[in-house]
Amino acid sequence: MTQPKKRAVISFLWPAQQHVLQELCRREPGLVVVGHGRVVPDVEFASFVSWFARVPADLTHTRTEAQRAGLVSTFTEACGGALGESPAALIPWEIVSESLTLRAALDAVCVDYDVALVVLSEDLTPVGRTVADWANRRGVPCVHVLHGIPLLSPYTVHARPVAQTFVVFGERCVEAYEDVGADDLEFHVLGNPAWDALPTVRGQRASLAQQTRAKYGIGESARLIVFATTWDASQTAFADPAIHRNTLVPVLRAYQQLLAAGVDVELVVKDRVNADIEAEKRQFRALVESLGMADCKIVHAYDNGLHFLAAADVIVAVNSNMLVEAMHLGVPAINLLNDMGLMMGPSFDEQSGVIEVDDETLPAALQLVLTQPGVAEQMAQRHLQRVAHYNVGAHDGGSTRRVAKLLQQKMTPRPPTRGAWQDLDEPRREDELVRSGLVGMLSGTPRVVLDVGCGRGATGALVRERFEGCRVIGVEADAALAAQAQARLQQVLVGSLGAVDLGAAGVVPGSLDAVLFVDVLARLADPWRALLQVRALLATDGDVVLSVPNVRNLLTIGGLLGGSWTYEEQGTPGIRHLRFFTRRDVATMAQQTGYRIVQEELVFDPRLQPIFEAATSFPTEVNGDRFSLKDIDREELAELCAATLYFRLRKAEGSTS
Amino acid sequence: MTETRDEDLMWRPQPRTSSGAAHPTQRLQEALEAHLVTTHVRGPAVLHVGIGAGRGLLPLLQAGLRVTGVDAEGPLVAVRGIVADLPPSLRVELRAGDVSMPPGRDSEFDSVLALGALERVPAWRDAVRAWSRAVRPGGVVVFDAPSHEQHPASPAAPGVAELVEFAQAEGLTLKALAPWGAFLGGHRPNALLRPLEQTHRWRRLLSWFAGDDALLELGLFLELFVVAHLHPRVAGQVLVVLERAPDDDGAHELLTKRLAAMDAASRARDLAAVEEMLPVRGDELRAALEKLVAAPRARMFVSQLYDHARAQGVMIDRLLSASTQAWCARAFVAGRADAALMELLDGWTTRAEATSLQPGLVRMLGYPMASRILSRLPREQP
Repeated sequence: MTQPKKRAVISFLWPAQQHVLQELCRREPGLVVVGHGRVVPDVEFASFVSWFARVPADLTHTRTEAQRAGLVSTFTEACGGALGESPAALIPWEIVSESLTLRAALDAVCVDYDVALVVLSEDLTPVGRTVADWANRRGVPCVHVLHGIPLLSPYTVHARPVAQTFVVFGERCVEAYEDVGADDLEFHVLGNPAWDALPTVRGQRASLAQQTRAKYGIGESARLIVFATTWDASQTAFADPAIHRNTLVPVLRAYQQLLAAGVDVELVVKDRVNADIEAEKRQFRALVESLGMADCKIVHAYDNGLHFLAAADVIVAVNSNMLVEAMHLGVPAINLLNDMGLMMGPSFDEQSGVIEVDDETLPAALQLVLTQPGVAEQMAQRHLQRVAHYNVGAHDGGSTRRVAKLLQQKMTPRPPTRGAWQDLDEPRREDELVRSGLVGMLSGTPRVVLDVGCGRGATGALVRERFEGCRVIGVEADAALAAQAQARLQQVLVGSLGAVDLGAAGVVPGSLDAVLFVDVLARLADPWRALLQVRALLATDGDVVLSVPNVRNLLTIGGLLGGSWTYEEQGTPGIRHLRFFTRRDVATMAQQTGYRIVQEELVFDPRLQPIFEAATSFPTEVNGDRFSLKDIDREELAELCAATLYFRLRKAEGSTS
Repeated sequence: MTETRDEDLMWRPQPRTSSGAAHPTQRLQEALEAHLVTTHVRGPAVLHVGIGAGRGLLPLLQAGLRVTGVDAEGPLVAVRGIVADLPPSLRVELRAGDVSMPPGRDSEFDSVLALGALERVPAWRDAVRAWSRAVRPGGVVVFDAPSHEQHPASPAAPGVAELVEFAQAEGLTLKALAPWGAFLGGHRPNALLRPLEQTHRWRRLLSWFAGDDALLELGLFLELFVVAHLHPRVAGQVLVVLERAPDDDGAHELLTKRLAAMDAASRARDLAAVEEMLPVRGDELRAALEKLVAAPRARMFVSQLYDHARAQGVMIDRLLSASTQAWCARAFVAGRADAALMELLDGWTTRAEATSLQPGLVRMLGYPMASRILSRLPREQP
């Protein structure tokens, strides 16, 4: 027989968002990540490249040939002469071929895995589009986790997403897509997983700033301007091919003016690599020299922006998400508007506290923020008040968790599994459980013991073994189990406690030294009546020893808070459980039925015992996936970590039956 | 026994609300109201009908007027707190009562000011009659209303003819009937700005009235020197000024003629004729606007208005200086080029769908081909 295929998620998430997959795999044990790019640690990872390599070249070649004519004729028709002679020369055939290979590779993954989900960070370039379109055609759920906020209205191809399920950071993102009429998408405003660390970074800003300043030799007293450069993706007629230089020059000039005005200030230009880093560095130096700024101190770097952000006294950028990151950290943000920004903006609303300037007004704005007391603080305050509009995870850093939860919901359901309820009709297959600890709670030397719901008689047999000459009478409704118990106990009555004739078995009021309810009370429709019934038969100093599953178990209540109450064949809640008790509820039940508790024990849930042992000081708290419980003392923590509760009861004095 | 219906306990997700400020244009509105008070309201005693939470109180007090506020008991609760904190020299008297029948003596006041009140009264004629009795002869009643041309079905939106007829019958003079608050949005949106006014981008821009003085200055200039002199149908609301004096010198005829001329000129899209009726015109108007739109966000405002107007077939070029015109036109042309690109790509996708080609194959080519197509598309001349 062939093994069922493993479930997999195909991920084209960018590295900054990949940790969502770790969280997803934690929630979905056994899930394999078929990933593009960097290996995701702590998950079962299969590199997509290996499927890509396996696609036979002739396959895509043949298909390209077959489709070439169709692409040319439909494109030529669609152009209607608007693009002049031979418009088909514009079609990039190598990309068509790559896209076909990519599709074939995706198909091949499905041969090896049960692909339950596709998730991607961008749905725009040929790779992202192909993956999303492939998923749509194949009927695989596809989630697009946006990698940035479209601060300018989504233009041209940005306004035509292929994936229909869209995770966005904040309401600001929804605004952007509603404005271009792409509002039939299924939006989930969950925040940006890549920014989940920002609330923490905010707390560590001072020490990070110090490190960065030391690393780059920035003066301790100098005010620091960080400028994040921008580039041109040429996707709109508004684009400025020289945007990198055209936005860099005004910043350099403004810096020059501040220096001339005697402001103690330094500049970091956080650049991005386009093609040739050495050539770009040379160009930068040439530009600085041409502006007569050869002697000005400028840090020109391609490193991670976050460290610069933490060290900045002000950040300048061009319609960039880095400004939103700055808002998270409370770093005053200035948006430099070039023509594209002016024509397609505004990127920010007034409440954001972001200052928006053009070339001319930039120097004055920098001077204001860096030298006017209180301005920077006021901006930081407004940034923090408004930032959740841009990213709902701005304060809780919980976007990873929310996105993973959505991905889990979106996955195709597992193939139908056998339900625990189907076991109800089957002979009971539960493991023979001997509750020796419960037997150990019996006091004195019992001579007559009633074992209610004795099952196969394992625990009753142990009683006989411990107390020589003890007579154990079992009651068991399941005839098959009762038959097995016959061999172990002196006598087994087949039927429910209310139905069997105890008198005929010689059980009269006051005759029982002990009654056992081993994992039984939770399975009875009326456990209260059962306790009342045996109370009349119990000797004055007789023990009722019972065990119940602990429903106040952290995993059980965590599951419930997380939305599931899954019946299991063994465990809690069990498929045969009818009644559910906490420690306090058992005490109440005992009191109401005329008993007092004389001894309690608990059995740890092995999965939770480490939590109990890790707690060293009390009161403590438990932090679950999405909930936390406070003011827990040692005894209560033990209860929360228990799988089963044991009790020994005696008849309460002065109460009558 | 009380009955609980399950609907009372049911919860359903609320529709998404616009997340901008509650009143993105509040600062512009306040500035306009301040101007209105100094231009039209006569003192010293003013009856502020529908005082509400007292938001409109400030300009009246700043103008040194003695204010009596009327509203229902409910709304008055909020304003009582504000009034109690005022210095004794700025005493405001509050009266609980019906806005359509304010308590008080005949001729007790010099002016009545009623903003946002007309939709709250059962019949506008009865209310305005009651308000005009509260002012002395020679006093004025100032109120706003939904624009009749934009809300012809509204019983609270009197048209020019109705107002003139009413004024004549009541021995009043209609001193002014002007469009008002064309850019305020809010509860009386401007149909002429549809669909612009529905975009988040426009609302985001309007939010800057609160923090951008240059934008506020542009907004005020447009409202006071342009909009207020146009035909009432250019805004969602109008401002009405009635004087308690019979029309002895033909004011009604003059006003009616001027509005008719403005209506004809604007319907004919004869912007030169329209401009002739503005208080500032020609080079003076262009120079003033040129100065105002130098600020970045003012330029965004003009650019979006320009795009919108042009899409509606209205050319506002002649109001702009040559350089502003060129800039706005460049943005418009770029927008058209983007639209042409998408029309071409969408057309390709549709055609691919009609064949056995995967439209996905076409869709994914948009990104690598966009700049090549844009560079070949013939550009419209600005």
